[in-house]
Amino acid sequence: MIDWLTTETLSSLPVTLLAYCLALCVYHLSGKSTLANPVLLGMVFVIVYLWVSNTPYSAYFEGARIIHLLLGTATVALAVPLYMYIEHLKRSMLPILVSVFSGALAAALTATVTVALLGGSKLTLLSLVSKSTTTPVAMAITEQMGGLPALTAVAVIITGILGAIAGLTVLRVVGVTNPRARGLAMGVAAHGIGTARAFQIDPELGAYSGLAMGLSAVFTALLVPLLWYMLNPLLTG
Amino acid sequence: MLLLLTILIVNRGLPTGLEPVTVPLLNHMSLLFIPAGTGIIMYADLITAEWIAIVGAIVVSTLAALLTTAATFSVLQPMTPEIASTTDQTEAAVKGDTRD
Repeated sequence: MIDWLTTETLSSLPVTLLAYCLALCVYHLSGKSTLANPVLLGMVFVIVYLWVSNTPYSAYFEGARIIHLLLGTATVALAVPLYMYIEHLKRSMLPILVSVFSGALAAALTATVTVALLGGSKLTLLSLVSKSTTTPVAMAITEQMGGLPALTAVAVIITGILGAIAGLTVLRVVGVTNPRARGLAMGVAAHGIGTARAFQIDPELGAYSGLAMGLSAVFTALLVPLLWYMLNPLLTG
Repeated sequence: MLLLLTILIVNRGLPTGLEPVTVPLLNHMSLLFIPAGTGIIMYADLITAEWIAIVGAIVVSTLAALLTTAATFSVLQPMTPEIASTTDQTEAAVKGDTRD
């Protein structure tokens, strides 16, 4: 029994690394297509492995815990790219701060209201409220609030893919031409995946998107718990 | 993250030794989400039952975030005087971050 468990746990690390490498290969082969998101693909490969080898998720996660723990470290490291973009903030500090704040608030509020209106459970609501933020921050918020970080991770990635694919088109249709407004909107709505897309179009767009992504992560982390304490009594009646 | 950001701002630059650690960590951040994200298989029932609410929230809040941010910035930006940027620094900062 013990031997059997250990074998399962031991396979977690190589399987995760292999899944990630495969996912990166597919991503590069696809010409860095937004649809071939390495996280999503890596997850699919691991899920296929667990299914084929009949490994319970809990045993897999036990073995892969060390990778998961590095996520906290990486979240702290996010300060470095945010610092690199902060020069842009000085050009028009107030409009940027206010617009990113409003965008982050709108994302959290509309996500909450939509889940509630469409009959979603409290667990789903808690897991989706932070989903416009970059994955590590969103997962940390969900964990703190008692939601399901795994659902958050998937929702964040789908949000990013949707924003990256449709974001700039939506902004063009409604007549937003200012590249800085477009960049900021992409960063708030579609975090890292949107920022990668913005950089493909134009460096200025990418820089503003990166700045907005970092700022909105900070705002969301501060806003969501506060919002929750205010809205919770209303939603639960 | 905020603490490190504050230190970087006060310090006016990246200390040597920080970049070799943070760059590979951030470049391969995708790997770090895989163990937790795979946990989604535990919630297949929840997703099957509530996929309409989940998809709805994703679409509505993505649109809301895009439009609110762009509209707020477009309204506020012409109203505030722009501070001339230190272009050299800005370009250097952006170049440093496009490697991924």
